[in-house]
Amino acid sequence: MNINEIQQQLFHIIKNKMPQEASVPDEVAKLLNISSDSAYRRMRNEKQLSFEEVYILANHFKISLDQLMSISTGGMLFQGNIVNEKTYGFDQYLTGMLHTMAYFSSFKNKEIYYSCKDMPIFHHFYVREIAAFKWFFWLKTYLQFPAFVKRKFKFSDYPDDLYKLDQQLLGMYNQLASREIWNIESMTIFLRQIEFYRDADVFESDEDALKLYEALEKTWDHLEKQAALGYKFKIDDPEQKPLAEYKMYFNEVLLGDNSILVITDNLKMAFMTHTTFNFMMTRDVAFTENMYNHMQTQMKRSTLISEVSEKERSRFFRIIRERIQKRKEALEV
Amino acid sequence: MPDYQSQEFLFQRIKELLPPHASLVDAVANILHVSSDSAYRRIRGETPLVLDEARELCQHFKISLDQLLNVKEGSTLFQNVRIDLKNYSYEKFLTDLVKLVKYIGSFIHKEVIYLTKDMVLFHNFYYQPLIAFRYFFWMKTIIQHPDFRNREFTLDCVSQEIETLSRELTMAYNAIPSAEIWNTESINAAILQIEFYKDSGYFSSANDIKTVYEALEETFVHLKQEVEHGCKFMPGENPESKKNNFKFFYNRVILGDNTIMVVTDRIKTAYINYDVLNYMYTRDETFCDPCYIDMQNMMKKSTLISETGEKQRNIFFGILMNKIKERKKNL
Repeated sequence: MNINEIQQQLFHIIKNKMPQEASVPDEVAKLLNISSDSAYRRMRNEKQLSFEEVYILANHFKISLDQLMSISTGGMLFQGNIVNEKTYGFDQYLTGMLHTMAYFSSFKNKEIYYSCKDMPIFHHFYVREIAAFKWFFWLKTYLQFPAFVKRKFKFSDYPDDLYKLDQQLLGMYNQLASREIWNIESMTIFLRQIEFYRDADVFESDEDALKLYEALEKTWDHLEKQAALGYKFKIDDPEQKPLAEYKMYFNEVLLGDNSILVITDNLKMAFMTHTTFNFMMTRDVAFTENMYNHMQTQMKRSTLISEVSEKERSRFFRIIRERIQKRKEALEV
Repeated sequence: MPDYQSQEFLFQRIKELLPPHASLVDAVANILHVSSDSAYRRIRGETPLVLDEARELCQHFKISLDQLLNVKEGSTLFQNVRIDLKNYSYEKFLTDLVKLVKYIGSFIHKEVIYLTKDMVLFHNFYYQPLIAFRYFFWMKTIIQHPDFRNREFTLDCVSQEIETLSRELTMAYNAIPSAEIWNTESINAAILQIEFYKDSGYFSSANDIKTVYEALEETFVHLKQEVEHGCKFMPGENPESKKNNFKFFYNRVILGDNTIMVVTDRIKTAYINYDVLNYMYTRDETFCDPCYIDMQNMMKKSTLISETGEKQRNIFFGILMNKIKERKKNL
């Protein structure tokens, strides 16, 4: 299509989008802040539209410029914020995640795929001690916020507001069907972080480390129960009332990268983790389809250990439990 | 007329996509077949772009106008490099990587920071058996090339071209200054992959498993020497003849995500790895600047074990070597 045809095509689409009785030249003139005569000249192709003018019209009438001009792109657009002390704090990070989860919840069908390098972020919120530790670790050691430099870790420092946000997030997450691809090393770094704080005297005493290991065991027991039942339920619910479906895969070959794929009615969204902690999202079709295929392949290569494969499930949970146990025994309490 | 905001936005994006040393004016003048003066006037917003010109520029730089003009704050545009069976082979991927690394090397000021989750890609290509295994694993298990579906691994599976290209890539990398942030877990994937192939019966002979493990072992012996000397070299090369261009950090608490930050003449490019081999990159400053700071923080929290820190270096490599030895014992 040459440029005159594109211009014609644009005005043709505009005409179809406007009510029949409305005057296209008047509307165009108004939007572009030009006379009706000038608008006419553009519509008759006597004058070329400028790029800015095309943008104003396309934006107003919601017309895809890529389609109109047959532009094919290799680029992909990602959106996301980067946590920092001044403009995007940890509370905003959680709130942002909450908004995203609320958006997913608005779809009828929704499912979340998680390729675990570490334990999925939502699982840190079951037990308050774990949430408190991760918050402190991220801010002090990872983001190195000056206010945390000399601070020692205390469970009681974890703000109630943040824990409330955690619980809201968990509530939303529990409504989503999930498939998680785990590797036996997905818990390694977390255990290492506890040890690191112990060595660096960031805990007030080994009692705190013990408390943390016990909280981790509690989380781990809960995950195993969920995996056995194949659905999520609240950690403190004695009746284990089923919430959303929970599928767990044990992958022995690849350690994931904490990427997340959300599949809704007709749309896929991919979340990439970068610099270990921040997320960014894209709806780019080629990218999300590729991630979908990649995750499907990984699942095929893995063992499904939720509901079925009791032996493999027991082995997976036992190995991690033994690692926690070994560390507990090394404590001086 | 309003001021030419979208025009300004378009040129800003083009600038980000251009190689760092390239001139925006020359590029625009070239693509639009106009004089440098006319290109200037368009870039400064004195002459409005006509639709045809905007299209030419978008086609050339593969910019999506829909995305560009409707962007919300906090958006970053990435370019994608992905192997696919039809259009972008592994060989082409390697060839382009060699070109890219040499191109980075052509700058006066350059800096590479590699935050590892797995073994740094460039360290896989010192010894033939490991080159062969990596190639085979990626082709069969990651790219899922149909020719490899029913094949078993043999040491001669890799062509001379791929082997040469792989080594060329490592040599190009060796020539540029780099800092690598490692964790003792970064080796796990390499070991798990060999184990997976062993358990799945993909090795055609038990001897090959041993040979691959030995190559992995030798790789880490060699890497340790590089770290000790603070420079990168190929096996057999004399480290004394190389420039000090290698910083190696031992990080105990965070496992990275294979993010690579490249700084060339003060322009930062962040490469994000995904699906094992593929990556995407951006030069967007709002993304790269905080990433760069994060990486600097990560280095501060880690122990420098290149040239200095002998004891910590021995501990680090001791842990890695033990992991390999444990597996070899079970063969």
